[in-house]
Amino acid sequence: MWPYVVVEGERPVVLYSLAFAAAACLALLLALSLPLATTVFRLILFGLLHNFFELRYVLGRFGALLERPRLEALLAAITGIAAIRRPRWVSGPPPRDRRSLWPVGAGAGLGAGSTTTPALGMPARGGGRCRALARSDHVPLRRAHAPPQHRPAVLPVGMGSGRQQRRRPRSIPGPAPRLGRGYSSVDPPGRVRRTAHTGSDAGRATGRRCRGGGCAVYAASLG
Amino acid sequence: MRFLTVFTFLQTMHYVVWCYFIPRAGRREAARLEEALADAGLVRGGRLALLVGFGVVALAAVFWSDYKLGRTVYGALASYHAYLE
Repeated sequence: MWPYVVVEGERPVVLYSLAFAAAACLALLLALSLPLATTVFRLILFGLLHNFFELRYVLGRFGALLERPRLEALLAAITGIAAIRRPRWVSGPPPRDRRSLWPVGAGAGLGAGSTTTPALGMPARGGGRCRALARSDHVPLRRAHAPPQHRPAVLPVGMGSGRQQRRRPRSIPGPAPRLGRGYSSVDPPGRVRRTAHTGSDAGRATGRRCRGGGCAVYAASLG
Repeated sequence: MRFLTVFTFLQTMHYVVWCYFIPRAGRREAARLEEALADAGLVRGGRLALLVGFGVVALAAVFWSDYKLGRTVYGALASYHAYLE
C-alpha cells in the first residue's frame, strides 16, 4: 500500500512525499517573493553540485551504454562544445565590462524599503533594485546613459498626424541614427518600445545600471 | 516577470530533486560509478567530494567577482551533464 511502501528498507515513502510537498511550498514562496535572488544564489550554491549529482546518477545508471570507444568520442565531442563556450579571456585579454554581483545582493534584501509582489499582494523585501525587479512590467528597458546617436527618436505625444508620427523627424540632420539592438527603427511617439531580448542582450543593454526587466531577463537565461 | 517566477519555481524543484532525492534514491547507481572509478584508478570517494566542494567554492568566487564570467564558466561546465543527460 502506498503510504507504507518502504524505500530501500529505510524510510517510508510518505516521509519523502511530505518532504517533497514542503520543498514545493518553500520553492513556490521563494519564487513569488524573491525570484531573481533565488535564481542567482541557487545557481551559485547548488549549480555545480547538481551537475555532479546528475553526472553521477546518469553515468551509474547508463554506464553500460557508455563503453570505451563511445565514451571517449562523447567526451571529445562535449569537450569541443565546452571549448566553444569558453570564456573570452582564455584566448584573449579579459573583458573590461566586469559586472559584479552586488546589485543582485542589494536587490535581495540588503537595501532599505519594501515593495509588493503583484502575484500575491504580499510584501517582498528589498530596496530600489528589488522594487524594480518585482515590478518590471512598468520599467521600460531604455538606454538612458547611451550616447545620443544610440537613442531612438521620440516625438511628444499628440504631435503631428499619425503618419507624421511614424516618420523620423526631418529636423535631425545627417544620417539616420544607428539604433542599438533591441530597439525598433520606428517607435511610437512618447515612449520606447521594448522588444524581445536574449539574456546577454539585456545584460549588455543594462549593465550595472540595469533596472528591473533587464536584470530579470539576464538572470533568467541561466541554466 | 511571470516567466521568471515560473522558471524559478521549476528550476528550484529541479535542484531539490537532483540534490536531495536522487542521491537517496540512486545509491545503487552511485556505488556502481564508484566501482567504475576505482577500476579505472580515478579519484573517488572522499577525495572526489572534496574536489567537487573546491569547485563549488571556486565557481562561487568567480560568480561573486564577475557574474557574467561565472555564468560563462558554468555554462561551459554544464555542457557535460546537459548533453550526457
